[in-house]
Amino acid sequence: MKLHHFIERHTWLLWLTLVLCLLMVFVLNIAIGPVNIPLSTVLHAFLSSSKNIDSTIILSIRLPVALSGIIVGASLGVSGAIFQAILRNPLADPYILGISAGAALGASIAQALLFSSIPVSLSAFVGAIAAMAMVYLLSLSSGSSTPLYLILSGVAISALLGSIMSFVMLMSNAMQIRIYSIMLWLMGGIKETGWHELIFISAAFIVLMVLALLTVPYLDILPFGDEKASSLGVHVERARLLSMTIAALLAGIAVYLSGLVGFVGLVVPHITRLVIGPSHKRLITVSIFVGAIFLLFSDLIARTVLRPIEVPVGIITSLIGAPFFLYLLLRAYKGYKF
Amino acid sequence: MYLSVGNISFAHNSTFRIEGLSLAVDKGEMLGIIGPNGSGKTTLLKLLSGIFKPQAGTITLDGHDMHAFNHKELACIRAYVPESIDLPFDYTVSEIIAIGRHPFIGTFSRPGKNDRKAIDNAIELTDTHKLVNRKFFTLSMGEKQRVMLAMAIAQEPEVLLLDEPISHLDIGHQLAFMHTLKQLHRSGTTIISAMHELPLAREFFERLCLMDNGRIVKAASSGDGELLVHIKSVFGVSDERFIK
Repeated sequence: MKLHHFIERHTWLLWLTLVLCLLMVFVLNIAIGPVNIPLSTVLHAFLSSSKNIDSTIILSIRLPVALSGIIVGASLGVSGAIFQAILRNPLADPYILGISAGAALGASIAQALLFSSIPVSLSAFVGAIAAMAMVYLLSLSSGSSTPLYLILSGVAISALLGSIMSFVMLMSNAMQIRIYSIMLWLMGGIKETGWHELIFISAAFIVLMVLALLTVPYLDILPFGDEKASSLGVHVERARLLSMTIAALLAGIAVYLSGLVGFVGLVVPHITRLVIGPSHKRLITVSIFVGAIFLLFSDLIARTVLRPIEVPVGIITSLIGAPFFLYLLLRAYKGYKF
Repeated sequence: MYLSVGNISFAHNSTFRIEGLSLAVDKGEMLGIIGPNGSGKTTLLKLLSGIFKPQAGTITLDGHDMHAFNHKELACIRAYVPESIDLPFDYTVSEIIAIGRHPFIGTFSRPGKNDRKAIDNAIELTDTHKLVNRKFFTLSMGEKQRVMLAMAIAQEPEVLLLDEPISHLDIGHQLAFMHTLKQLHRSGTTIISAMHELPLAREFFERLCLMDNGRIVKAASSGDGELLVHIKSVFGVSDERFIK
């Protein structure tokens, strides 16, 4: 409460802190790796055009990975905030409506059975979006995609896809090995991406973020319930579908770049609400930064904690996120509201 | 007739339906809807506010078919206060009241002078000055209802529809709330409210509409003798002390 008021009066301080933190983890992310590169060399690689091994590592490997990290963290943070608003449930996360099961099954079917020429990332993305669409259509069959029906449909579809996945795995030994490698892929780590691909994804990411910010009023109104929202001039079904599509595509981008990174989408909106309150215009913009910082920070730990082995970042985000989430639940038990 | 309901039918599910219901409300009228639990008060209010669409019959607002208005246009004319709001997030009171201005603010614009004025007016009328910086979850039931009323008033509606707004309040807060409604009524707002508190309804509303089983049994001025007879039989209460 007090923190909230302080920040209200000193918005610039909040932004300064966010930008500085992001810059810091971003530069450290580029500098630290199998080979540590001094910070001065990192800055030099950005500023001068001369080529050497360090600048090649930085520009063609470390920089794209760090940028991917920003996109993944920001996408998951914002996607989580949107899902929590439209499902009227602070415990929702981007994977709640079948995205994780869909990504896993999509990747497995494409790799193990049919088209092993299609990249894992693309088939996971398609699987995730398809599962989400199924969940939406299933919830619509009850007349209206109310939050309750969406969540129940999500549970049903996830269970169904999960069992199909197990079935595929049991079909043969050869399949099991291939699916094991897909499981490793899905575990959640930032993949190395080429510049062309990354530029395309960044463009999609920016467009989705702009759309998310334009639809912010819906996110403030939908939590009041469908009937109140409708009386405030919102076409509830359309608004929910629009926001859900934006959130699903953002989560899809995150899956494409990094598999299934857990807990970011759940925890980031909570941390952000603790600091600046639930009003969605600020919640979304600040979640972009908090998500990116959280993911890059986790990635730093993932790369250094067991050096030279790189731990998938999804394990670290869950290791940090799950206890934090338990702490929030304990607070809720003591009367704290989200 | 300002708000006119012509022979509408509406069914939620197989067990409850509104059939052949007609009602006319004058501009600036203050109408109370009374009736036992499950008699269709809330459904009628949602039909009157355009949230539900009748399966047969028409509802006209100022001579136009209500469903010819789009969501936003309708939101600039009428406001609806549901019986209770279960918010998942802890907004501040000022944030909540400001959301009432949503229908008037374009996608690319920010709240302007008029919005500020409407919000201030809503705060003034509902006496919520002291609450504006409070969080919604810290409010008492009576304060919450006042804030929801302020949110609806910020919408500057010509028609205000309320669903049992005072059912969870103590008698002091009930009276204060009713006086605020009366004040709004004096400034020309048409008010339609479902009510359980018969003595208060008879005191504050000019006209009462008694419902039972999805139909209107009787709509008459509050003091009407025949209405009282119907109230007794519909509620199954013969002792007038609890009704008057």
